[in-house]
Formats: sequence, C-alpha cells, structure tokens
Amino acid sequence: MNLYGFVANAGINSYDILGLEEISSITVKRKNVNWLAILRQHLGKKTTNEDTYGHWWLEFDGESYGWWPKDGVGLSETLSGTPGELNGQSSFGGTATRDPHHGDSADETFHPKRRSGFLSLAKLEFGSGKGKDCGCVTEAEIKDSLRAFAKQYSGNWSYPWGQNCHSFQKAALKSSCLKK
Amino acid sequence: MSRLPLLTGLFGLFFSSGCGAIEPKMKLNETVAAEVLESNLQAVPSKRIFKHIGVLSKAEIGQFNLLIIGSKIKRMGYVSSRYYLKNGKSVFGVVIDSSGKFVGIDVTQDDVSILPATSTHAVLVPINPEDANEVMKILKRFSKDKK
Repeated sequence: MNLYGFVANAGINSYDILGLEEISSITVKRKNVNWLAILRQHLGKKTTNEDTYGHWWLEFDGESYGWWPKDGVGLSETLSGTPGELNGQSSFGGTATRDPHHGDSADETFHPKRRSGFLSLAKLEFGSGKGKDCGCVTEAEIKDSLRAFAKQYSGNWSYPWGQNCHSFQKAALKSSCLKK
Repeated sequence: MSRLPLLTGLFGLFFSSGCGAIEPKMKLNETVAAEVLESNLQAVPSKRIFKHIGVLSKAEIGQFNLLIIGSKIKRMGYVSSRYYLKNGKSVFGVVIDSSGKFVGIDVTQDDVSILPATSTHAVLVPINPEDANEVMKILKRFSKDKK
C-alpha cells in the first residue's frame, strides 16, 4: 500500500490534515451481541447455534487479536470480572497471534483510519515507533504497535464494564494511531 | 440515559441459574454405547476437530449419571467442552477449565458439539465438586491412553 498516496506522494511536504487516510491492510471486525436471541434462549428454553454474544477483534497480515475470558463465565464472573486472556488461548482454540474468530465474517467490518489531523497531538504508544506523531508513523510501525499492545495487555475480563473484547479493540486502535 | 440498568437486567435474566429437578433426558442412556471424543477446544464449531479416544463401559456411563444426578443447572457463557460423549442421538459436552478442573456437563441441547462457545449454555455443575473425581479419572485414562 502507498502510505503517501493521500498526500500526493509528498510525505515530507504534505500532511493528512483531516486524518482520513484508511489503512486497508488492517481490518476491524465486530460481531454484535444478539440480545433478542439471548432472551429467547433463556425465556423460551430454546437454544440456537447462533453466536449470540458476538465478538470484536482485529485482523492484519494473517494475525488477529481479541480479548477473551480465560474460562467459562456465569453471571457473577461476568459482572465482577474473571481472568482474561489474549485470543482465548487456554479454552477457545486461539493462539498468541490468532483469535478464535480469525477469518470469520462479522456484522461490521471496516478498515481503520489514521488518527491524525491538523490539531491532533496523538502519538504512537507501543512498538518500534513508540512516541512518534501519528501523522508520521509508517504502516509497519502501526502494526508493530498493535502487536505490542496485544502482547502487554493483561488483567480481567468482564462485561458490560471493565475490560472485554470491545474495550480491548478500542484501546488497541487508539494507542496505535487508529480510529474508526 | 445510561443503558447499564437495562444491560444488567438482561444479564440477570440471561445468566440466572435454575436448580430444578434434572430431567431424565439429561442422563446418558446406559443401554447404548457412549463414545468419548476429545476436541481442540475451538470456540467456533466449524473449526473443531474431534478425536475418538475410547468408549465408556456401562459402569462408566453409570458414574457419569451419578454425577449428573448430584448436579444443578448453571447458565454459562464462553463454554467450550474438552470432551464430548456421543451417546445414541445425543452428544454431551464435558467442560474442563484451563487449570484442568472439572466444571460440568453441557446439556444445552441434544448435540452440544455444534454450539458456539459464545452462546448461552446449560451446564450441569456438581453440587459437591468432589463428585467429579471419578469421571475425571475415567477421562484422564482415555486421554492418556491415546497420547
């Protein structure tokens, strides 16, 4: 991808003022929570093969990252928190660099935009380009930041507050100079 | 307006556990064989790989049914069974946590192997966790024999 296309191949003299450059090699995927199906399952005692809880994850270069609980959860664990784990490696078939949903379709799929602009002071927070202005970092540095962010992420999983796949993805994008 | 009260209410409905009597259909049928399958724990059903590791004897099926009788249903999310027991037309899931501790038996529907981890599961959790020791011994023996 030509990172400087948006500034007419003049990366030194020009700047993405509005922060609209899309990073097409990174894909953000979001499967929504299906509350109606969850209620149907519970109230009607009916089950469904649908993925009713949904999931949010990121994909690029054959890798993917998302945040999961380490084990199954009931109500108390969901609300109060339970140990979380990158890509559900212990219980859901993920690996250090691949989310269990890798390659799956989602309800919402988009390529993030570079988080930069005329008044932006945002800097890359992780990886080899840490500390650089978002307007100046390369695509490789952004991906390195995403990897470093995922690797250092730790703590609990809970929902709807606290750390979960939604907050993980939002924080990963923000710290790596990306936005929706 | 905050949507947290709504979400909390929905979660309460969704996850609340029931402790009613166990239906007979939730027990394994002792008159037919029960094949033991080990899975690769994939959350997404289409990515699961199953490996046949043995067949339960009638006595072993009885051990599982004893465990089931002394269990209560807990509604859980993020459930992926390590073992599956194929018993006639039913497939039960055996849920083990990441530390190797027995959690319960997934009886959400007739065939739980086609359920994604990220849906609501009905798991029979032993009231006395020590009741799981015998079935864990059976499963470990099968698993070890094939490795």
